[in-house]
Amino acid sequence: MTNTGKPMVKQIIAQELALDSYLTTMLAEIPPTEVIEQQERQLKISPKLKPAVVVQEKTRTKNQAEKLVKQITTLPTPVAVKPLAIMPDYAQDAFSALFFKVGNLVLAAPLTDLARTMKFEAKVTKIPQQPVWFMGLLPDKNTQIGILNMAYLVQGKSRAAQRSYAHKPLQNVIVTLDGNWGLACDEVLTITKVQPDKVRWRTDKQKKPWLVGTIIDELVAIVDINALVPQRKRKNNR
Amino acid sequence: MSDGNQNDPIMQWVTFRLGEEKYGINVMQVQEVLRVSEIAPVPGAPTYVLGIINLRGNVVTVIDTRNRFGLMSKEQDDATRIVIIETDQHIIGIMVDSVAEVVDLKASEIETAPNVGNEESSKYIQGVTSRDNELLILVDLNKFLSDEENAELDMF
Repeated sequence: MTNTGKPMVKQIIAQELALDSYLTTMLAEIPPTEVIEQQERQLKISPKLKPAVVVQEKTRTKNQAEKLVKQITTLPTPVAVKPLAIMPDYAQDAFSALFFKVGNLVLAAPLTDLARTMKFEAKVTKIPQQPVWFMGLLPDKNTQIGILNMAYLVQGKSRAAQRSYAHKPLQNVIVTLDGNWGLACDEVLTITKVQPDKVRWRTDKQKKPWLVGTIIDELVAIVDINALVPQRKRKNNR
Repeated sequence: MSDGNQNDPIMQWVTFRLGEEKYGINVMQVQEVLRVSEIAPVPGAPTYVLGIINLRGNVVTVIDTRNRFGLMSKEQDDATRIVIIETDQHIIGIMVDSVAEVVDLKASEIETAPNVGNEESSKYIQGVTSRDNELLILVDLNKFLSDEENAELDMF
């Protein structure tokens, strides 16, 4: 009988690594030029460096080698995380998500977190000395919506700052459910049902807590719109 | 403060422009509005200080409001004005692109502006109100300069 379990595990690991690599590349900040130059300089001088660890093959006895092999073969297999424990409430069943674009990045947000989308039809009033990602206030009926530049929040300052927003302004706003905040993006694409089992849900949210998971087939990141509005700002009494 | 309903008092605000935005300051704190005259630079002054002027024998420090608000600097023109204001601690001049008008606002018309920066960055923004299809940003002149900055002005 052939064991089909191992190739499948390998395939899943390979998929996860590919997803990690993809998301890291898309969402990572660009390192400053000085860092790159410094790394290049280090690479140029690296042949002169001595290896950090010298493996002494001769000293390893047969017994030690057997012990090592045993240790490796008896490594505990990783415990699978129960998907239901890490999935948000809205994902207990198929859920509708709004797909939108920020730069060349396609993202999705569950409809349960959103009030509506709108175009920039009125003037956005800038408030002095606010962070670069806070675009200003947009009048809406009898209130003002605080507009946040989603490119800065999602892609990081270094990448977002490369774009000229005067020449290529963000066109659309996604309004949070409480109506207080609007996240500016380039394009609102579509609304689609997402099957929870087609999503790779993130288990570790210490970094980028707003990144909830990835729709595997489309390689689209699912974002928590409320978590994108930084904590202290949401506490602010409006 | 003007009269009006005691529960909803009316205040008058002098409005001015800086860049594309319109700001309002409490009329009770405005002493006068001047055309730009000669401003003498002060050596070692912080970047937000344009210099000093002689106002009928009194030395008044003129603040570069664009710099204070983090806006790009702009050449002075015919519309540029220095608004002489009285804060809790000083009489200072603030240079603005132009002075617009005096408007009456009910307290209930003023909304709190969200502060997304750090505590210090925009504490002088008292609120906002919608008027003539645009937002008017109301500035609390008593918080326009920090205690440290006020102390610095004492040295001029």
